[in-house]
Amino acid sequence: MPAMSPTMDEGGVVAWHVKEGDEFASGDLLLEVETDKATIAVEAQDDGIMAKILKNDGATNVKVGAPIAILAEPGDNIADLDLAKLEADAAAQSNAAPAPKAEEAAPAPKPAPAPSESAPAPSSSGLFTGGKPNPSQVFFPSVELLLNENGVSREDALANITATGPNGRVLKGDVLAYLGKISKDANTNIASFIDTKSHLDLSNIQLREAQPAAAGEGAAPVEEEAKAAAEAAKAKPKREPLTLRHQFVISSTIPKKALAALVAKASAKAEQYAYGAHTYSPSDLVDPIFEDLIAPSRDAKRFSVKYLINETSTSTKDTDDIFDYEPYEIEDAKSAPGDLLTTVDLDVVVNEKVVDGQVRAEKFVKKFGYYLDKIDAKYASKEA
Amino acid sequence: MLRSFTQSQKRLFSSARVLAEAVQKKHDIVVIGGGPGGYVAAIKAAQLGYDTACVEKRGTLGGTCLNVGCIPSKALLNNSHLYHQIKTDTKARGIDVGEANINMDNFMKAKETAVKQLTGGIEMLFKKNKVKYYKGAGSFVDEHTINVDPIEGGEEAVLKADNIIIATGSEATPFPGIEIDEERIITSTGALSLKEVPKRLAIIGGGIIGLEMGSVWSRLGSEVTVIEYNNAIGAGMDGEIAKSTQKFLTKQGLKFNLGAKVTKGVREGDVVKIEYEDTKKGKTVALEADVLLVAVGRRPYTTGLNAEAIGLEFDNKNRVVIDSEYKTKFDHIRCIGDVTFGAMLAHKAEEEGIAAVEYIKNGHGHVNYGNIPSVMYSHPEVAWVGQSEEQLKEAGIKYNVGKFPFIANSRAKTNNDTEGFVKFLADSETQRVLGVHIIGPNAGEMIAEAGLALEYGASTEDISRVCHAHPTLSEAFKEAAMDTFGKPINF
Ligand SMILES: Cc1cc2nc3c(=O)[nH]c(=O)nc-3n(C[C@H](O)[C@H](O)[C@H](O)COP(=O)(O)OP(=O)(O)OC[C@H]3O[C@@H](n4cnc5c(N)ncnc54)[C@H](O)[C@@H]3O)c2cc1C
Repeated sequence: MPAMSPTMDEGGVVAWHVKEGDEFASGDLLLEVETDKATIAVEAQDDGIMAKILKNDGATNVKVGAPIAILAEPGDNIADLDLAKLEADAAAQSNAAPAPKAEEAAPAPKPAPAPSESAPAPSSSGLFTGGKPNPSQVFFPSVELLLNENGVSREDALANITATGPNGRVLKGDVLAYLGKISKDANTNIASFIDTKSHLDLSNIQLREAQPAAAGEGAAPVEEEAKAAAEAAKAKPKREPLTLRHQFVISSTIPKKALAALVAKASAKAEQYAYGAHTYSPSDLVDPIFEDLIAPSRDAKRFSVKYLINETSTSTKDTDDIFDYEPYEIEDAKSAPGDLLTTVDLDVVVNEKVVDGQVRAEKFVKKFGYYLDKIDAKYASKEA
Repeated sequence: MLRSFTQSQKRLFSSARVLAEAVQKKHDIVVIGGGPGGYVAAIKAAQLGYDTACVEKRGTLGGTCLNVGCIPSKALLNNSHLYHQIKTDTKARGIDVGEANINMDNFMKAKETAVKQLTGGIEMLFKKNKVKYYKGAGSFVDEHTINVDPIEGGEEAVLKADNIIIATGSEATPFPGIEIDEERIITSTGALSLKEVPKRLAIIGGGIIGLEMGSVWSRLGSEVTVIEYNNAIGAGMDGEIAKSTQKFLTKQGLKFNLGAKVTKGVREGDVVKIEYEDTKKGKTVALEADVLLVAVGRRPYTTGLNAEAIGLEFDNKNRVVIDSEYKTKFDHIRCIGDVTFGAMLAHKAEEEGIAAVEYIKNGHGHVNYGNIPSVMYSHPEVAWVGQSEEQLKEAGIKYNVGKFPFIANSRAKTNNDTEGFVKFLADSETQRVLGVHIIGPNAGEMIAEAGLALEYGASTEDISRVCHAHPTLSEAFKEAAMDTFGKPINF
């Protein structure tokens, strides 16, 4: 039950405007709450899903802070959630004092507690809305001064200002918001931002593949991994490594040796690109220091490339010896009769032990294809 | 001959004894790993009244930090700085000294003395607080049982525990294809105990560890070349700070190759041949060095712990998966420090050690992950806490910047040590301090004041209204705070 006013200690549910299983967007009307003074609409602060309603329409005398519903994050599969346990946890949490902060550990549903009267806590949306000031605090000099300048007594300040600092500390921003010099949102936004930063980000944990018992060496050099894999193979059936398989068609006629050289170059360039490209878009979940400390070595092998150039041609004139290549042969082959359909069959084996192996391998495939297209187009225009 | 005989005899004897006793070794809390995370957790647990044991296989307590990390590196940094200053910075101060020389044996001894005193100190603390110390490698037998495989001086034991805290730390990340011999091709551990000053030292990785070690050996006379894959050094420092850091280190003689992808590093006799691809110019560059330091980061260490066998989960970077109360898959097994999530810093591990034990004791603990300072102990030092400009931009937070250079600070001027500045980032509406970044003499000490400000939610005005002594460097801190919304007085 959210606290709709500083003095409210219980309330009633007038009506829910979402059903269990409904998705809602930030700003949607969730429910109407009845206090001793008024009926107030409660809007969603974040996108989410209504997992379970705990207090139905018409419920009265619900204590502030008592769970009234369980909200899930967008994309959560509600069927997978242990609602009974969450409910029990939420109830236990709301009984504990001071109200613990809802953990944002995993993208699991958060019970919807409300700011308790004694200490600030994040609201149902995770927004840190603040709470009653701690009456025993020594004010910050900035706070003291602002209060003085604006004729607010200490008692009034402690009674009326919403404190967003730790342990009910009144911050300069709280006074500015109270005085209307800045918007309340600006104040709660920064408090929420700082609140999220104060937790270890444990969302989106990607579990590693089960490994042989002797492992624990994720970023180990490729050779060692191969050894470990070979050993594992003895013990249990071998898991096929992830391989990206692509076939590219070269429709123009390019002499074998020239093509081989060009494809090799394309492969090298695409590989360089794939290793150099950024793999994550900036996000506040990414902690660059930590990424750097813990990331697989930047040069760890992400994937290995194998390709075969297949020509469906009867011409056997060309040898496969790349060192034999002479530019004039381009002319030579061009005049060769018949339809040459060439395919480049690509196998990229992803090193899944390295976090960004697959992403970089995919980047490689895309770039490789792009280069082949370019080569193809160039020769096609030559033919024309 | 004789010695090994008696030793093996002792071994036999102790294992026979332990077999009989094995079942009796039961503790409330067993901590695996005696680094900053583990030893702090163990002492705290004992202080809270738990029968506590700590298993450590290194032979000394203190983990990476005290043995081969923070402490020895800072000893070398401090003394190499002193040497460098005596050599280059005394004349102008009116002090004429004779020739200054490095006595490498004693130089290293000074470091070892510091390490010994500190690691020994922890052993004393264990005795004082009645933490049972098992010298050996711990491994899970099942989720309540840990086997201790003793090292010299240890005893074999099988431990039963109600609660277990894993704090096994981290190890240097190897570089694929480059073989470490800790002599010519080294990790930070080798860099802390080189026998002589290498003429040419190449470093892969421009993170904090690489730059600190680079500083040490550059002061002692090495030509230092840093090869960094990213386009910035400092591993996630605020962008402006990283650039300024590179500038002052370049002035000190370090060479930087950024955007460089190392493709080769092999020892050939007494030289190391290195090749890297200059990704900006797209060409390959060859380089020779007498020593190559591989400092490309650290990775969680769980070798021999047998954690997989009891089904503990790891993420794809081999971090032990935990929840917000440091619990693993099992409620009674918690995990802290370098081996799990978060920044790999000693003080972070310590905080978590305390918090994990408090969670066991009363279901509540506190670590503010938004307020963990980072310090690089170069000269001048680089220190920061809270958010960087890049992070704030990403989060779409509007902020004001306040800056004050040490060149305008009276104490820095009197000391003739004026490199650097203090930089504040504060919310543009509420003036709440969001991040502080300092390059300057003693920045690592000064950052503590920023930590207090962050912890209590202070605004920059609150800092500027606190009286700071004159003449001190800390006045620069105050003036930078003032600069976020008003004007500094002395600039
Ligand atoms: C060169 C260098 C400089 C550094 N400088 C700084 C700095 O200035 N400031 C800073 O904050 N951090 C610094 N660090 C990082 C810091 O050392 C680590 O963050 C810190 O040591 C982590 O503590 P921990 O307790 O998690 O692990 P560790 O210190 O790694 O301790 C883990 C301990 O567990 C033991 N262990 C592992 N497995 C077992 C087992 N199965 N049984 C028994 N024992 C086991 C290991 O022997 C080890 O002693 C530095 C690191 C390096 C390498």
